[in-house]
Amino acid sequence: MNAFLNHFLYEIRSGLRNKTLLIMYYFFPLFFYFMLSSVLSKVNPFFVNILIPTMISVSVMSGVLLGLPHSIAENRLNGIYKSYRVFGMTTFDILLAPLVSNFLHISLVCIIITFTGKYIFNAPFPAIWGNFIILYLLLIFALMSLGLFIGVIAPNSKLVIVLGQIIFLPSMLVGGVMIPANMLPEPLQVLANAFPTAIYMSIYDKFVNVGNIFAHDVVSMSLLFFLGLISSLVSFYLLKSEGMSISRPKYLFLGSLVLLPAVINVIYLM
Amino acid sequence: MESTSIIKLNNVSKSYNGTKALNNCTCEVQRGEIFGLLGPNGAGKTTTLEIIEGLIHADQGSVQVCNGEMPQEAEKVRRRMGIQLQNSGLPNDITAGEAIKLFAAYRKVKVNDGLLNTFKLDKLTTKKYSELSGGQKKSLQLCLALLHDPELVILDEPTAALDVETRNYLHAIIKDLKSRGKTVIISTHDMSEAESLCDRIAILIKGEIAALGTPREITSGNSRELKISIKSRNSTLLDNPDFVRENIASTYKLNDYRVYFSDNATQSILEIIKKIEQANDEIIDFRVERPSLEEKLIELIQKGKKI
Repeated sequence: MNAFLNHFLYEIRSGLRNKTLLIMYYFFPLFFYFMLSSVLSKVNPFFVNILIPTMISVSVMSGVLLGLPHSIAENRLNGIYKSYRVFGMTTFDILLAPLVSNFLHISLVCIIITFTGKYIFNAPFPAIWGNFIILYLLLIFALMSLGLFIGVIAPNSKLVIVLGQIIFLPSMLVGGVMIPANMLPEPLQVLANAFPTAIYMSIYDKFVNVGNIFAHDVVSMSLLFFLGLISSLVSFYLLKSEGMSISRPKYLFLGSLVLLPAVINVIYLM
Repeated sequence: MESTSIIKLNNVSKSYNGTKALNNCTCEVQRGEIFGLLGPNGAGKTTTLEIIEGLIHADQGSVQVCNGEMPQEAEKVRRRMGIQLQNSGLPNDITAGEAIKLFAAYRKVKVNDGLLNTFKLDKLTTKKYSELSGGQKKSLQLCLALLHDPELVILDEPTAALDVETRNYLHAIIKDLKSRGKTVIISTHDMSEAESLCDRIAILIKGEIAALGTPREITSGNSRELKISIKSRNSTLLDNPDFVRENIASTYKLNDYRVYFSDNATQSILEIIKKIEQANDEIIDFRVERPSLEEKLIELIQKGKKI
């Protein structure tokens, strides 16, 4: 516990010392939140109804798809994790503290958004706080595990950005963040179901405000959970196996495994 | 009962993209000895060490370290090892103090002030890793490797790029480890360092162990080969490698000297003196010595032969 606490406190300090992470955790999502909310709440009065989930999605994605993979890949590629191992950490020790500190940084921003959204932009508070937290935890678990997976597989820092953007940009465009999903062409609506934010946005109102979801929503939520579970287990395995020759077919198989829940959700909701 | 061997490598091979980095390496390291791994760049020294550390997995063969099978028991076995990697990194923003505290917590040991003093880190605890000099970084890494008083210490080129003072200091630390019964494995390019520190040495050439033994066994071995260096007034033999051929294994020119390696030094010396007299030349310096480790390494690299 003492070791984890030491590591966790260092990770928190490191997050605040690192300019890239500060931008991805705090500056970018809060700037985006204030700018977009100021404009859209005037242009579209209904936007305030989805302001909180929309901005939570953006903040989580910014932190875990653009910030987290960068720091994981940097530490991995620069031999820092290798040093951690030889100085006594297990793979679990290496990952736990940064993930928990990442979670806290992002959650702090989401708390700021939730409360300022209500008082500055008149966005409605979630009606059922318990469901709001459950859905938030599912979203961050799925996306953080994907971010971890990107950080673990990226062969260089340029590809980290590309892979992060491959999820970030479509999530923004078709994931119900920038444009409501029901305004998209039908093929894009189907494709959007592969993205965790689309699942989050489509379920949010029913689950958090009404408290009544359908069977297919339960399936989508379960797939969100399995997406996170599979991604984190595969990432853990790959990081633990660093230095071991993993065959290309096995690598491809593990990659497909990560994508499987997203593909199932698309097919299931077709 | 623990075996006298702390490390056993048996027919270990490793390839990277079809290129053999290690080929059927077999050797043992005894408890309490300083064991050197020598070889040119790309010989497989770091690969060997990282296989022993369980950081990379051998394609074939078995590796036993501290009575544990590697890599299966790597995390358990590493608790008994202190490792300094060749290119180890720490986050740039971590301070020396934070790093020591962090890894001491994972090792479940209290930070020993004596250890900080030994590595001259006591006044550097608030300095960030990126602000430390190369020597200070190496000292910090060595300090982190020794925090838990490990029984096996593995140092991959620990003195590379260090100034003479720091290097001598590190040598003293390594000797102190041996005096306390620890086993030290050191990989180095510095032959004099290996000769003065190591009890036994393995020379790796192209992923194979080309020589294994004490420095003396390797330089003279079972052979009677000696090195003869001669300087003459008229330099008769300097640019003439064929001046003397009998009993000469090899020869080269070094500054003003002609250097011969001979298995029958007495006969070779007599032959050389006779020929110099016949050429009306005069010997002004003459040395007979055991070939150095460096010369042996160069010879092995050139010949690619095994002792």
